[in-house]
Amino acid sequence: METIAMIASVQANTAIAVGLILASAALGTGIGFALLGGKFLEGASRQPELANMLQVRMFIIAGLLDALSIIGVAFAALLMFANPLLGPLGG
Amino acid sequence: MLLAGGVRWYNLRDFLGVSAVLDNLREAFFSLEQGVSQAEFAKTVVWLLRIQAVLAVLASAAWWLLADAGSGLAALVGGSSGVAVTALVGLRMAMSQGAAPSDIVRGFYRAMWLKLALAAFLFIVVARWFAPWFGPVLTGYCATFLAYWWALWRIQGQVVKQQQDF
Repeated sequence: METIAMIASVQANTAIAVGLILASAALGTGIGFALLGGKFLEGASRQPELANMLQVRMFIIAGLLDALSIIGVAFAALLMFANPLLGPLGG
Repeated sequence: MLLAGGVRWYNLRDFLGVSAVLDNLREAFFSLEQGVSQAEFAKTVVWLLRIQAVLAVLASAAWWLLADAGSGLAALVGGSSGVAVTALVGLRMAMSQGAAPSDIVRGFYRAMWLKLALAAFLFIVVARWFAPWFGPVLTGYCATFLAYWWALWRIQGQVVKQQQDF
């Protein structure tokens, strides 16, 4: 009975952790991409002939911008589908 | 007098059809410039994918040598996930090349949405199949990010060279 309660506790805390990870990832990338898109539009409206060149820069920066959030998504997937924290409890 | 001369020259240009020729030349030059930029984008994406593939293989080989074949395979799967999401974003953004800036931004946000969805799907699959080797998977995936830093460094070098040439 005690083990079941501990498994339930680990699962509940894991669910909260996964929610926090996904929320933080969404918030961070949302702000970052909004700033990136806004600055791109500013640059393209000042010098339209540079729009394609700015697109290359935007592509590279975007790859770095969402790196941590995708790693967070990977951890969240691990916690949701193969939770290693349940191992010691035999879950 | 200067103004009158200018007006006369402007009428003469119209009469001879020079302005149409100049407009056509300007358009041709602009489209040539855009073509060069599009080629630069494709070249950058292909370069980035190639470097990411090399880094994924290197990470996989390192895990294979330091641990076992399972870890090596897991690192290769993680690196392949990184290459796949970069290829998807590159293809989706290439579709909006040469469009209006608002369409480019729209294509960019769609590409990012697709990237996140594909990454989540791939990592769910990986978490199910490679859960005991999650460290190597993440190492392989993170190794592909080095390519982005390298690309930034390369672009900075190009800008400095252009400024020096100028």
